[in-house]
Amino acid sequence: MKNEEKPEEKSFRSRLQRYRPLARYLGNRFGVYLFTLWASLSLAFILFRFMPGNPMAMSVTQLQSNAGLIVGADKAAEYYREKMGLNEPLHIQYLKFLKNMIFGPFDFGHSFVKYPTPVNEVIGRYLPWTLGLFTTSVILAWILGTAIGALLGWMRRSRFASWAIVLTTLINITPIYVLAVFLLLGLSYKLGWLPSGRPYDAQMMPSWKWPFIKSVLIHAILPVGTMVLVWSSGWILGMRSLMVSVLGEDYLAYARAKGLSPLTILKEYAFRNALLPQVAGLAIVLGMSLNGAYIIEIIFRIPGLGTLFANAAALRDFNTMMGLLVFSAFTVLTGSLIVDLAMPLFDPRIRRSDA
Amino acid sequence: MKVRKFLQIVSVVAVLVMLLSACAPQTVIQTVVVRETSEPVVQTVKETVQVKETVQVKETVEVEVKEVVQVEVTATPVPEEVTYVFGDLPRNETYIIGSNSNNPKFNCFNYMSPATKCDEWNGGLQLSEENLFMGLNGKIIPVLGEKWEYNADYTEIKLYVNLKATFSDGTPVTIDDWLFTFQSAQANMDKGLHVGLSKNVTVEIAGDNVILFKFFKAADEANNIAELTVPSPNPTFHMSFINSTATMGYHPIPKRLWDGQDYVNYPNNPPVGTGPYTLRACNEDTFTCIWERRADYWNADLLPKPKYIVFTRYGTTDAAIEDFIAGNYDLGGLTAALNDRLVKENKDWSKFVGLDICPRKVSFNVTVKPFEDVEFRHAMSLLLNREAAAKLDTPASYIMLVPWPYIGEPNSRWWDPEVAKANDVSVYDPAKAAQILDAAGYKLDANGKRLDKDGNPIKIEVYSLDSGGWGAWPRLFAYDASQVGIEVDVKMPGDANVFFDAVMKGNYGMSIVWACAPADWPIFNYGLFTSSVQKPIGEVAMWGTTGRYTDETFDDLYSKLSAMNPDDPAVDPLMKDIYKHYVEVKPFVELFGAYTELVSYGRYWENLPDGEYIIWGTSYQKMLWEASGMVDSLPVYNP
Repeated sequence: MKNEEKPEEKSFRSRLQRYRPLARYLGNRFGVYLFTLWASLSLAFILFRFMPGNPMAMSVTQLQSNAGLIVGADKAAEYYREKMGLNEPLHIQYLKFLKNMIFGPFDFGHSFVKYPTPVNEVIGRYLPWTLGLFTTSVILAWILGTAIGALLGWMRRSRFASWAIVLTTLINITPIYVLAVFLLLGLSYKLGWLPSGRPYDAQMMPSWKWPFIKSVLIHAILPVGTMVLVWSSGWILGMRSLMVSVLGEDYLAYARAKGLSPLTILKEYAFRNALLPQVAGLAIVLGMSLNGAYIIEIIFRIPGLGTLFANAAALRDFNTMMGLLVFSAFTVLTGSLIVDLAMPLFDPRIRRSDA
Repeated sequence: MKVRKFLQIVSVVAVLVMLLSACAPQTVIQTVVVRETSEPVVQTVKETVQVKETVQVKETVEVEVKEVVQVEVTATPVPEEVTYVFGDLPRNETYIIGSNSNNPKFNCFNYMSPATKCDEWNGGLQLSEENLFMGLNGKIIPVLGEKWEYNADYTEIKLYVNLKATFSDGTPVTIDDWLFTFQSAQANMDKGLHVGLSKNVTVEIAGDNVILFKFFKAADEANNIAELTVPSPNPTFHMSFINSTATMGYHPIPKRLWDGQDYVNYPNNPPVGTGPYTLRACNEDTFTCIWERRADYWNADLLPKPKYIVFTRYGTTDAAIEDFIAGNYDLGGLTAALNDRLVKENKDWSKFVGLDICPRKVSFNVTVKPFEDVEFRHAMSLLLNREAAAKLDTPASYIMLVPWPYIGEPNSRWWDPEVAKANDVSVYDPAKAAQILDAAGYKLDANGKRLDKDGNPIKIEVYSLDSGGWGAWPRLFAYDASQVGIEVDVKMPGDANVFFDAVMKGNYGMSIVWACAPADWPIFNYGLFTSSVQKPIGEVAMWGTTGRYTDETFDDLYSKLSAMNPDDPAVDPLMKDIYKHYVEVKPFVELFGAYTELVSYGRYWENLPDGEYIIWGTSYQKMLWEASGMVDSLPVYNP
C-alpha cells in the first residue's frame, strides 16, 4: 500500500507520458530551428566578407573617377571603414556581430546606403512594403490555389479541368520575372490600364487619406497579381494531385455508398484530408517565395527589402546585407517552425507518434 | 456546358476588343494642296454608284473647270489639349529628367558630403545650386562670383563674390556664408570628401565681398600637411574649384542653418540654395523629386523656361524603353545602341554627344614581371588595336595622342607630335612589337611561346569591364599577343566590385583605367605618378595609381608645374618635358578617348545642342540655358 500511487498522480503521470512524443517533436524542431539559423547567418557572414570590394573603395573610386585627384580621400576612406567596424580582424567582427545580434538585440550597426541611419531603422523603413506585398500575395495565392486545385481535382474528368491544368502548368513553369515584365508591358504600357510601377503616384506623400490608399491599392494590382498568378498555380497543381489521390481512397467510396451528398464528401472527406500536405508545403515555399518577391519589387520599383538588398549589395554595405539576411532567415525559419509546431493540431498521428 | 459556352463568349469578346484596339484611328494633321494647272480641264467631281432594282447604275457628273486658283489649305491646328503629369503639373510647362541613378539616398541634399552618398547626383540637387563661375562652351560665365585676382607671386587669390544672390528661403547670401562654406569644407575634408580644399590654405574675409585665399608651403606634421600633393603657389587648386567645369564646384551654404550641424550627416532637406528652383516635393519611395521655379530668383534674366522640373528614376530597361517611346521623359539616356534606335524610330527624339573628360587608358602594373621593363610595355602598347576597339565602343570613340581629352587637335603648347611619333603613341604594329621583344631578350621557345628573361613562358593577366570597346580591346589584344607567343588571361568580371578590388589592390598585369582631367589644365594625370600618392601592393590604391609607377622626373616636373599659372608661357617647355617623359616610360598608354551622349525629347522643349556641358548629364541648368537660347546673352568673364 505504501508504494501505491494516488489515482490523481497516476493520471497526471500518464498524461505526461502521453505528451512526451509531442514534447520531443517540439524540442527537435526548435533545436533544428536554432541550429539552422546560426549556421545560415555564420555562413552568410563569412561569404559576404570574402566578397571582393568594400563600401569605401567603391565610393572613393566613383568620386575619383568623376573628380580626379581628391585630397584626403585615403583619410576619408579610413574614417568610414573605422565607423563601419571593417578594420578589425574577421573573427572579432564575427563575435561582435553575434553579440550585437543577440544582446543588441538585432543591432547591425550603421548602414552605408543610408549612412548614418542604423540598419534596423532602414529595414523598418522598407519592411512594410515587402510585408504588405508578400503576405497578401502568399495568403491570396494559397487560398485561391488550394480552393481552385480542390475544385479541379473534384472535376478531374471534365474537359474544362484538363484545359485549366494545361494553362496552370504553363503559368507555373514561367519564371516570375518574365511574367512580371510581360504583364507590365501589356497591361500598363500597351493598354494603359494599370500604373507602370512605383508604390503609389509619384507626386503623392504618404498619408492615411483615401486618395493615397487608393493609389497604393491600384499600384499593387500588378505586383500582387503577378505573384498570386504564379504562386497560386503551384498550389493548384499540388492540391489537384492530392484531391485526385484522395478521391480514389476506399473511405470515399464508402462515403458515397452511404449516400452522403457530393458537397459533404468534398468538404468533409476529400478536402480536409488533402489539405494537410498543403499546410506543410506552405512552410517550404516561404523562402523561395520571398526571393521571388524581391525580384518583383525591383521590376515594379517598389521600395521594399529586395530593392534595399540590391542597393546594399551594389555598394558592399555588409551591415545592411547582414541585417536583411538575418531578417529573411529569421522570417523563413520562424514561419517554417510555426507551421511545424502547428502540424500536431492538424494531424493527431504526430501528437501520438514517437517519430 | 454552360461554363464552356461562357468561356467561348469571353474568348470572342476578348478577340474583338483586341481587334478594335488595333484598328483604332490615329489622329493625323493633313496638309491639302490644290495644284495649279495652265489648261482648263474636265474633272470628275462626283461619282456615285447606286443599286436600282438589282441593277448597278453608275452616274457621272462632269463639269468644265474654267479657272484654276492656287489655294494652299492647311488644316487648322487643333489646340493640343493640355495634359497633366505628376498630379497637377501641365506637361508643356514641365521638364522631365529620367535618371538611372541607383543611389538609395535619393532625397538627401548635402552636396558637401559625397562620401556618404549625399551628392549632386541626387534628385536634381543642382537645380537649387549655383557655381561661382561656370565653364560653358569655352566661356567663363560669372554666376555667384564676379572675378578673381592673384597677387604678384601667386601665393594669394582674392575672390570677389556677388552678394545680390538670395537663398531659396528669401535670405541674402552674405560674405560670412561664403567664409563658412569654405572653412567647413576645409575642416571636414577627411570626412566629407568634397573636392579638396587643402589645409595649406587659409581663408579669410578681405572686404565686403572679397574672400582671400592664402597659400603657404609648410610641412606640418600635426595637421598632416606633409601628405599634401600640391605645394603653393597653386593655380591648380584655383582651377579645380573656382573654374569648375565638372560637377563639384562650391556653392554657398547658409551659416545660420548649417552652423553647429553634423557637417557630414546634415540632410539639407529641403535644400536651401541660391539656384533658380526650389524643391516642391521629393519622395524616396517613388524616387521622384519635383522642383518649382522660384518667383523670387535673384537673377531674373537667367530664369530657365520650364516652370517645373521633375527628376525621376527609370524602371527596368524594358519599362524605361516604353517610357522613352511614349515621351514620358524630356531628357535621359539608355545604352548607346538603344539611344540610336530610339532616335531612328521616333522623330521627336534627338541625340547629342559631348566629350567625356575621362579618356580610357591601359595601365601596366610595374610590380609584376615583365611590366617593370619599359621595352616590354612598349611592345604591349604596339599590340593594342585601338582603332578597332574604339569603333566598337559605344558611342564610337577617338584615338588619342595626349593623355587629356580634346576635340580636334590637342593643345599644341603641351605636347610635341614628333615626340609622339618617335615613341609610337597609339600606334598598332604587331610586327614591330615582335622585333622589340626579340631585341629585348624575350625569345620564342621551340613551341612558339614567348619566354621571359628567366626562361619562363610569359602569361599576362588582363582586366577590363565587358561593355562595348571596354570588352573589345582585351579580346583583340589577346589575339595579337598570341601571335607573338604571349598567352593572355582576359578577366572581365560581371560584378564591377570584383574588377575594382583586383585592380586597386594591384593584382593584375594590364588593366583598363580612366583618368579624368579638364582639358584646360590637364596636369592631374601626371600627378598620378608622383611618389606621394603611391600605395604598396595589397593596399587599395587611389584610382589611376594602381600600376604603382613613380619616378623622380615625375615628382620634380609635377611639383614645378603645380606651382605655375597655366597661362604662363614658361609652362610650355615643362609640359612638353613631362609629356615626353610620360610617353617614353609608358606608365599608362592611351587606349581611346570617349564621348558621352544623351537623348532629348523635342515635343515640349527644343532640342538641346551639343556641348561640353552634357558631361555626366547633370549640369541641367546649363542645358536649360542652352535650350532657352540664353547662352549668347550671358555675361562672359575674361580673367
